[in-house]
Amino acid sequence: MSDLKALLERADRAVSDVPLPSDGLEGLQRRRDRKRRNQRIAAGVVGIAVFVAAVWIVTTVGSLDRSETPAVSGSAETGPAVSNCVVTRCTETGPVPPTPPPAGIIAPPTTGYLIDLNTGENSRLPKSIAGYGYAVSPDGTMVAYTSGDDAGTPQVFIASLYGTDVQQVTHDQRGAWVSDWSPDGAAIAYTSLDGDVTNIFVLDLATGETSQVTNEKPTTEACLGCAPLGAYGPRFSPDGASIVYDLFRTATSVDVRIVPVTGGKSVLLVRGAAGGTLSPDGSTLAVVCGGPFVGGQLCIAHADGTNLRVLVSGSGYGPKWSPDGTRISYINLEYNPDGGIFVVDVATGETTFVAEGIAADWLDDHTLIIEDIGP
Amino acid sequence: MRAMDQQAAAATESPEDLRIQFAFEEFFETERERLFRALLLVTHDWPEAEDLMQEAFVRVWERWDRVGTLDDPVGYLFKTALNLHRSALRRAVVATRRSLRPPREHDPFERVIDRDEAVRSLAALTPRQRGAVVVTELLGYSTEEAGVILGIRPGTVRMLISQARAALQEWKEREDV
Repeated sequence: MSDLKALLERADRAVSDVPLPSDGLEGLQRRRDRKRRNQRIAAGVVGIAVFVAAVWIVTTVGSLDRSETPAVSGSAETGPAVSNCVVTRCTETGPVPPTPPPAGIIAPPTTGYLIDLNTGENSRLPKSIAGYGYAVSPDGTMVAYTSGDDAGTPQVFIASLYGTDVQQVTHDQRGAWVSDWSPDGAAIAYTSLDGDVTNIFVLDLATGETSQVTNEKPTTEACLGCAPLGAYGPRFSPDGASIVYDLFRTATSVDVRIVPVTGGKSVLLVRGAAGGTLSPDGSTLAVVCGGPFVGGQLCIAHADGTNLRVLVSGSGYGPKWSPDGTRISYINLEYNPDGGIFVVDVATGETTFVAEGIAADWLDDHTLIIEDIGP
Repeated sequence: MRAMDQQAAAATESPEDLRIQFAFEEFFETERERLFRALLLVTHDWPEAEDLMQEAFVRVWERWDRVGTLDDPVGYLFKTALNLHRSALRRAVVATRRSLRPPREHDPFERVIDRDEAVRSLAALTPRQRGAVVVTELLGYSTEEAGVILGIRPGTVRMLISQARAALQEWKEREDV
């Protein structure tokens, strides 16, 4: 027996004299109940904070857009004429300012870095690819991101991870926010804001042609100061034939749906959820459930949306599957209201803190690209 | 008390829920002493060990439907407890609490530290070193398993154990024991 082992066994015998805490299972029960109550309170506060922040960010970006891009039928001072507005969103004093899509779609330019989960080593992304919404290409060599074009309008750019070969691939006057690469790396899905409704488009990188996938129309849902409704956050299915996306039906209700990549009829997967993304083998759907606006638990379900169950209680936004499908990265706003990236092991539910950050995507099974928390 | 709780629970929960609940209670009663003693040796602090033990059990309880089916739920429990111990945020909270709490003249662990040289010698190790030696030498896990429990590489576990040996040797020489 080693000296160290003998020493520890002696120490262990000595501490056996120390009385155990008197609180048994009853104490545990009280602690669990207290924790649940605190989580509910914190979730409500965080949800409200996120919503207020999103309103502030998009209102700010929207006002910048109006000043930099002369309105089609109005002036830079007055903004677009009322006739160009969606009727239900105009007031007697003028158009309602552009309002927020879900957090993560529009954000101030930021930067990011790569972190190796095995070693903890990290390396910053080159400044030449400063942007947000980083999405890594399937082969892990390229990154797509959103950044302003010369006029300041958000557009999709692609570049190598070394910051070379930077290329603006969308030239959409309405703005384009990147979301996902197709599994074969040949196309990029993005969201665009058309008036007061958002829709999903797919860009063929070889030809530069864009096709519209969803065809959401402005609704009669009046919501002064809240997000434009419509389709957001497209994620390709593993076979590349379909797109999973979020449909904001009202200011406070959102569903996860799936639609063929060629467009057409969409199918509801999970009601009252967001951020849906299919596992690499296509068998499991990860979503933010339990009220994405307040709380936002990370849930998993069968690919068709059935058998929904909580994987991470508390806060689990922006789920992304690791390439091998064993883990999911997510944002925990309870840990840090500005953004904390965690990884959960799908089999055990064990969660691990990775880094401070507002978004993440997998480069390979042990490397994440982390988007910095903005200034 | 427990029988009453069980009756009350039986009125609202399914047989499967009750089976899971009782399995957790058994797990708790079996493992709490071993976990508490191990945490005492790692933290050298009675209130912190108590707090860590409770939080680790609560977290395991919340996931018991999955954890209960694992090959080694005990390893998962220790991993949870030691992860919590490592958490920088938690350490800050503990440090604050420690600074606010009254002197511990009645702390039973303090008396053991004063009395027992073996326990006192462990104070010469860093918390990471104590974690590594407790998990391997006391709980009997291999360095590979300890790496999983501590969230570090097996090579790091071996390095921490080696450093712990050196630190203890140095302590012995300094204390002349």
